[in-house]
Amino acid sequence: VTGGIPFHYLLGTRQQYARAILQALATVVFFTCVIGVRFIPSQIHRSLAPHSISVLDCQEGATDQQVFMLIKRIPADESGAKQQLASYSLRSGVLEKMDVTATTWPECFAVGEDGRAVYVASADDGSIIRISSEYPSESCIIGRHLQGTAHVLALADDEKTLISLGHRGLYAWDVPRRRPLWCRFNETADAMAILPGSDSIICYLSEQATGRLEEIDARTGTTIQVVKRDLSEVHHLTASPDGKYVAGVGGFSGILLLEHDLHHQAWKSRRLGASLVGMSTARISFSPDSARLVSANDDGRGFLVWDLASMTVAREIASDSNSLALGSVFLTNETLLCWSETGVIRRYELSENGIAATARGTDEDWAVSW
Amino acid sequence: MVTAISNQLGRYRQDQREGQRTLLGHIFLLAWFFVIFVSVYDGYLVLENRVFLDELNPIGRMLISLNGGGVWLLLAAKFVGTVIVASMLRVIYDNGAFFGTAITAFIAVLQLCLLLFLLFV
Repeated sequence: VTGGIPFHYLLGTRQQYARAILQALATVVFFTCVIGVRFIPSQIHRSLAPHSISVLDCQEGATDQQVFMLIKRIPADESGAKQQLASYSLRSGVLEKMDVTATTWPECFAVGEDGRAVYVASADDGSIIRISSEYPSESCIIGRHLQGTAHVLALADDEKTLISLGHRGLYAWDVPRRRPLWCRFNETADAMAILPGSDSIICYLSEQATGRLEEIDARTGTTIQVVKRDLSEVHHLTASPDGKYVAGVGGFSGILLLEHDLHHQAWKSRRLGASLVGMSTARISFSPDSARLVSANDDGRGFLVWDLASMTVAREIASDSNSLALGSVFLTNETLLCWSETGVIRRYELSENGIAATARGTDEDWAVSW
Repeated sequence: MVTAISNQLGRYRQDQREGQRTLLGHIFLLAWFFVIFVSVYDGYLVLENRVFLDELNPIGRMLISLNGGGVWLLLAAKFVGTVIVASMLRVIYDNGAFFGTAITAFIAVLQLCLLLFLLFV
């Protein structure tokens, strides 16, 4: 009946079973306590001690109620800081860790149009990983930088081409086939913007003391034209959703604004707020209707909303804290999300002329789900 | 005389059986503790690495999925499973010392492989 398996060894009296279960239970609890003595105090300390959160980058998600963030969590004792990818729900105020098992230290990221796929550059080994933002997340490696790691990622409109910049090399990846499309090994690229509705990218390539802005064909990697030469450092470039403007900030005062002259297929450059000096590292962003641009203000602690038709400041958003503004992004034409170096994030409703929500950069305030 | 020798031999054989039983008992206890320890240690690693956990076991993955990405359901299942298996091994040993020790030692070897995998792979 039992197929030769001696099940009769499992037969016993009720007392026998009770004794065996008690002994097993006691042993499991004993070992749990022995191991827990080492583990639990550090965990309690880690979970009770407030983590300060610094937001390094922020990008829109699938809806205007969700944003993806690259954050740095720093424990109170400042040991074991971690850089992690998280999604923040503007509705619930909960910051949720994203399951990026393939990398322990994400360096930068890019989000697909519908927010389902997030591309992460790993600082561990230079790999570019595609992860699904929905649980259960699945990840796959798109490719790997041969030298160093990527520090900027951008996804083309069709989501089939991913561009990654490293300190040693400019790469384009064929996302569906997960292989490199082209590569410019010897270039040092610091910033780029993919032009919506075209196959071009604007990229800042640094040379020894200065650098140049080039328009590059995203399909082949060849230079279409040099947009501007002898330009000192550019930290960040962004393109307007209509593809008409490209704006950049860097080691110069004000904002470099490039306007595409479609008739001559050339770029006209101008300087917005030439007297502004405090915005060199803050991320800038165009509104979805491409009519406005938001940047940090003169002292780097508040924000300016520029009207691109008149090239003037349409709105100044003063900061009530002393922390440095790190960036801002338009969620809608009227909703702005701004973050500072201490992890304070504010949502402004421009039509209502005020702050809609504030979250400070700690676990308690964020309602962190980790 | 013959009866005395026979008694002596009987006592010797009984001592030998008891000695064997004691040795088996020690081996069983050692293996039994080891099986439980590795299981608890595995749970500890799950808890410690829950942020970057990459569970390979399909049942474990399913439990994590059911728990919406959390590890507590997996840990509870591990706890209950460990208690059930350890109890069964104890009952088997009570019913047959040799058979119980053999099974427990076999599981301990498997647990040793798991431990080496957890520590070095």
